[in-house]
Amino acid sequence: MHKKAKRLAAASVSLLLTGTVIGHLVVSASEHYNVYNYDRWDEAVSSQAGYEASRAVSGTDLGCGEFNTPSDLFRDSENNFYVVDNGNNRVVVVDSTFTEATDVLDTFYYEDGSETTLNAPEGVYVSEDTGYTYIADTGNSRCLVVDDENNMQMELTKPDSTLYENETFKPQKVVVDKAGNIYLVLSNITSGAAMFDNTGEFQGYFGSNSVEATAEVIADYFWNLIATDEMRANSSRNVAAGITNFDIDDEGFIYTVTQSSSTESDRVKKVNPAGYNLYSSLDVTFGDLDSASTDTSDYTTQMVDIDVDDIGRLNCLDLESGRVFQYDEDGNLLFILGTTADQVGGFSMKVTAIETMDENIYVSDAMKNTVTIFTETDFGGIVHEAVSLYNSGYYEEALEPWQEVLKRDGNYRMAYVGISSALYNESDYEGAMKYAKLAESSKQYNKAFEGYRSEWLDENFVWIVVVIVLLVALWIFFYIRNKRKKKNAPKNLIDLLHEGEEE
Amino acid sequence: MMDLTQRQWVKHSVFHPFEGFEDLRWKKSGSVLYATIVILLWFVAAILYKNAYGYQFHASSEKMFSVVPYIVQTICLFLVWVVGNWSICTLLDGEGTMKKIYIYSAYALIPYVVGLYIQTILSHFLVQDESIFITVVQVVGIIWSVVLMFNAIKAVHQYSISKTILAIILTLVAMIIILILLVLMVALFQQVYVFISSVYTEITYRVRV
Repeated sequence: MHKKAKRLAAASVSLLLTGTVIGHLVVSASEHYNVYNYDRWDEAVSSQAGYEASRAVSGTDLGCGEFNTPSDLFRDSENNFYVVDNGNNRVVVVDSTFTEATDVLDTFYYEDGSETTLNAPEGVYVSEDTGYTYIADTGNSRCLVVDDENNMQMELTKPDSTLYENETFKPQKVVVDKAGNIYLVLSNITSGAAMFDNTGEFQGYFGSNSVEATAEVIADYFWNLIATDEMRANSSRNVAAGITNFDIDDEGFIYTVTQSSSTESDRVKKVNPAGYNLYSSLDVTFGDLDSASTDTSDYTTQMVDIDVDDIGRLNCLDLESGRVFQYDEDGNLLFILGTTADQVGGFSMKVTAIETMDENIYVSDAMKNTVTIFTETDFGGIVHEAVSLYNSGYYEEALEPWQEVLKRDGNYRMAYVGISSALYNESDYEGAMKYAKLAESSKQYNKAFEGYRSEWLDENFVWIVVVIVLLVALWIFFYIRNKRKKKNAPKNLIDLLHEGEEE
Repeated sequence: MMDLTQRQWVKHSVFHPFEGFEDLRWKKSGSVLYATIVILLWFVAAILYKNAYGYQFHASSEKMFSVVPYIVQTICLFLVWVVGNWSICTLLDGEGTMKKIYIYSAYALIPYVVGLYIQTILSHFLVQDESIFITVVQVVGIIWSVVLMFNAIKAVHQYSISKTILAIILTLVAMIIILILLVLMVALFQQVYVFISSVYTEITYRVRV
């Protein structure tokens, strides 16, 4: 009887164990596209999925009627989502679970009571600090600033300032910083984002891109030096691509993306308030690298939107491949998700916006007229935990999650660096060297090796001194003996003859 | 005077940059064996330098190892140098024979090759902050070898300084021409080979049918 109970218990335990194992396998294999990441040599290698598409939400699902080309997504501080429904001239407010539309913004009231409506809006922003909603009303060439009751607070139109030299004023995207300054991405403007202060006064441009010094640009510059005015007037000008979209983080840094097939240097920028690109020194190519585009067709990544989540991770959306590239704050690639396909998790060739909340990523598709929600997988959760511990300097605490990451995906390079750093902090220099080597990180190896060397010198200092002293003693001994030998040795005949000659 | 063994001659020519090769010529000395050993050591050094270097200095590591590039970069390059120099200097009234150019040039390379070994060994003991020591070894090795090579060419052909410079420049040009011709030849032979092999396959098909 006793034995039987034991056996039963053992059987049920093993059943439970196999159940969990199978469960994990199913989770990691659920994406219908090839999940990949880049290795040390910038080649695409298969990887575990960090996110899986959980559902695609249409306007009907939310109870507000079908979307028509949704063009922007925004989440405010209370986790309400704002979907800019470009084709229906409205902004739909959705609850935090993304199941129900709670409000539709389409009509706004001036102080005198008159109404105004939107025309093909493309961007929305809700500021926690000012409490206003900012809507880029592209079709009407203006940007609206409204309060909770849809009362107009301000209306930004084409500035009269002499600083503003352009004919058109088509705001497409809008963000607002803590001080209430408004930044607008304007269509067909290459000088950067237009910046307005909190009273609506035009201040100038912000975060413009630079022209990459390619061979063609240099050649053009040379020809322009010797060309006549008439020739110059007929030649094309080299102008940097205008920024496409941007986002602002809690510290007030603005992240811009630029959709351009000719340049990749300004694809993703982190701009500080002085307008300087903090990522310019970063050795990272954002988006897909050449090795990924071999199987189907050649394409260049064209980033259309960026979202900085609460932890500081960058989520960049690529129009061409329908992929989301997630980076940590230092530009390390974490995950690549999404594809171009008809299934859930795949997109048409017209993705427009990306937004995040906790472990979810939301991507809007202007052709499918849906918002797709990706949810972090177990693997993604472990990686994120490890990365955030690692990036805030808790190397030892990150050791365990990193090891778990390696168990599930041996190709995940950051994990080797992470383990190496953890071992280094624990003064296990040999282990740190081993993992640094596996990570192909000479910088990390250098650090570990320096520790290893000084430890080795400390331990063996006595021996080193003994060996050196012995060697010197030996050398002196032989030196003296050789001299004596030479003195005492009988000179041979030929030498004697020569000596005589010289004398 | 100067009754040195072959090994002592190697040492003498390396440590007497300005007179060594003249002495070597005067005594009609120098050994093909030692010269060949130097070149083989260079070949080994080049492989070690790329693949057994201290990991803390690794800029990038190769995914695949192939010995062919190393052969081309060391042995072939050296042979092309010898042939190029010989063909130029025969036209410019040089006195050196192919064998002598081979020996003298190889001796001149010794400091550079030794430098490669020292750098590779040092790279396992130093960290990135101390890389200046490795650079010093590298620069000294290269300068020393260049001086030796200059005097070797000068001595082997009995040239003046200006003529030596001219000869070296022309040799470099000749090397480029030789390499281009070699590449052309290889491409041509490849085509001939492809042609012959396809004719052969065609015939075998006919025969079978």
